[in-house]
Amino acid sequence: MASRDEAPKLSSSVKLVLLGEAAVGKSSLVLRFVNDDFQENKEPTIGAAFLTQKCALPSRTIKFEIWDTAGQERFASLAPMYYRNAQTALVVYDITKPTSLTKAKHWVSELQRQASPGIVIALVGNKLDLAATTASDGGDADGGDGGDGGDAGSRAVLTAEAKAYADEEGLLFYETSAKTGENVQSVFEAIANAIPENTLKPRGGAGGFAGSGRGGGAGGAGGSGGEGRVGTAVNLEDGVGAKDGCAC
Amino acid sequence: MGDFNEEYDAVIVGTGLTECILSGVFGAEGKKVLNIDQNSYYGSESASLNVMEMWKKFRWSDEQRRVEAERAKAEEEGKQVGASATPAGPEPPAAFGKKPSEWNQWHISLVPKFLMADGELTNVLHKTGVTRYIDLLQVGGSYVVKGGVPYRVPSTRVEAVTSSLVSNFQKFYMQNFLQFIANYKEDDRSTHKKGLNLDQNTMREAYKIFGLDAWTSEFIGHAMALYVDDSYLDRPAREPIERIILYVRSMARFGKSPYIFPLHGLGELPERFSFLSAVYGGTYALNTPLQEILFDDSGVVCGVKFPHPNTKEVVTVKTKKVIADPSYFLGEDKRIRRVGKLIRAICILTHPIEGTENADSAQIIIPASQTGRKNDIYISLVSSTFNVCPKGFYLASVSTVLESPDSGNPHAELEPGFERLGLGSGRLGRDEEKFIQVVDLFEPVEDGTKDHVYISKSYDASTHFETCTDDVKDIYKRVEGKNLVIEQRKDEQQTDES
Repeated sequence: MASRDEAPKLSSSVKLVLLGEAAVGKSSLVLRFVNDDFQENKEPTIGAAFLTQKCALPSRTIKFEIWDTAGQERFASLAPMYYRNAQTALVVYDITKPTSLTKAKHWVSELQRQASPGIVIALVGNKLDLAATTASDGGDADGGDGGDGGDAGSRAVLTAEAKAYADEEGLLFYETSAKTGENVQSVFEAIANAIPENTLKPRGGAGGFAGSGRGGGAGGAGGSGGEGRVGTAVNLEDGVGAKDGCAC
Repeated sequence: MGDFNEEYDAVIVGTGLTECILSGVFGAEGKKVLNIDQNSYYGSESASLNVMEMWKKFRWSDEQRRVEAERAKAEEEGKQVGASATPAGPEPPAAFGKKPSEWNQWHISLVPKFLMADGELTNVLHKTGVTRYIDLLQVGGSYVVKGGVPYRVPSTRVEAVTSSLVSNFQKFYMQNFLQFIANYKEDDRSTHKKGLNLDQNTMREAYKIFGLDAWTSEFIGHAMALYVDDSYLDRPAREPIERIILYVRSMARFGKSPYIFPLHGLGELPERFSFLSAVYGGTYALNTPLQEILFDDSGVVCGVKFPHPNTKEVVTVKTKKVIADPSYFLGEDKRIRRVGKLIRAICILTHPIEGTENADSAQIIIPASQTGRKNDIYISLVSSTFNVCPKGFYLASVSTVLESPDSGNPHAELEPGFERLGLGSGRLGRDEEKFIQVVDLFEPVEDGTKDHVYISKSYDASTHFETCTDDVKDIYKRVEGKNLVIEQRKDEQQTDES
């Protein structure tokens, strides 16, 4: 009856959206997860609307449909359809950049306000390789400064601080390095485990959000997943061109 | 600053469907495109709004909107205003929702249009791959009103036989006509009607050749060729015949009506195209009014100025081309001219429309002849099936071309439509609502080839988007000097091993 090109896939297909300030490594995390690859100085996101990757757990296989922002977050212009019906969100910040955590918190509250009920949110502090430590698994704090091999700055967001915030909001929390691959797999596995069974169902049914799972899940937000303009933002700094405009 | 490019191939102003399709097309061709929009949402005139946004647009004062914008900005900058802060103007009644997550269940389309299932927009959606990300559902019925009663519009020979819309005497002729429509192929003369030349005969003559009487030709012209008035009768038959073919083919795709409509409302369309454009590297900035278009010595566009969406400092970028919707040139007689006025009422109902077998969605046409008007009245209905409102509600739009703009009482022209909805004489049920708007239709004065400012047309009175895609093609041709060919998009790179 409807012209839907996309027939329902595996019953465990899950829409995952990436959120976070520009240049915190959202796409790199996905690239590491999907292709086990890393590109230094990766260009801002261009190319695919979403990637898919399976995550096999003992009990079930989750197929992530991973949506990248395509850079629309830069000027507070992420379309509401982006996180509509998302079952899980990866909110990423850069552990060397405190403002990126502020933005991440903003996205979390936006998701809690606007996204589907029962959405699983993971807070991820990326660029762990730049922290001056030989990395534990993101467990406890180590604050340190001073660069190890990294050429750039050092940790500026304490693990404990972010962890406390995540606990308070009921978020999954990890620190990762897309560059070394550290903890990347763990994040996605943790998400796969946290997704309530009753929200796993074929995508794109006409019934829509109205009946979508009310299951628990971390950071459960109110309301039915619908749109809502994303009034909030992330700004500045991304790789494209970037010179001060002055024409004519 | 420092985050916009110094130069773009095109700056597109407004995020209406026309602009977003063009943005997607240019992006796919590898051009650098910047899109700005003064609104806080995607879609411009073709947006879908949630119920709170509807209140802001229709029920708030300018001052209230200004204060609200400042409040939102402060909140965004992390000054803890908190979610509980009171908005600057009135909220919708509690029956429509008490908080953002409930308001967001509404996607109220500002333009009352559907997609033709076999139309050009559907084709564009398909070729660009946008259908991958959008769910389109069939609209439940297409009706035409006669003697105060809605009838399904017959579009096949069988329906022509059974429809009580067609008199017994006319059934045979109607069948012949539909047979001709179904078989017609431009390059096969055996499918052409003897004595009918589509370019030389008028449609009035064509009806006569097929022996169709006044009423039959009226509903064919209005409910199938979808003309709002009778001026087409004395023009060549080709265009009306092509429109009837489009109607019948669209009808044949899914069966209940020729129309389809996106889950979550029409605003999905510009949003999805904008996302496509962004995927190709296009840049988007909402809440960003166009401040000034800059011209070089020869009078050709060389840049635009606008306040930075985040810092509000003035940004100047170079560009050789500006494409914009007419709302950015209000009052500029050298840029745009008014070609008509529409009146539209968006109604929130708590019941389906009488006479439609409780359809969850429908298009109803009240032909001008039935009301003593020159222009038809259109009703379009969608409901929670399309995820555009909570269960139990229906969204109906009533619209027509305003015939007496100076009468001081434009609402009266919609009255036959309101009566159909059970809202006659100003009646409004519990938890029902009406938003009435007089809309100016504009078109550009110049084609833009001289100064490289290309302006799109307003979304017209028609029930579908065919004129919108015409405009897209037309603008593309003016900008690029060649016809638009949309390449079938290759399947996306996916590591999809399933």
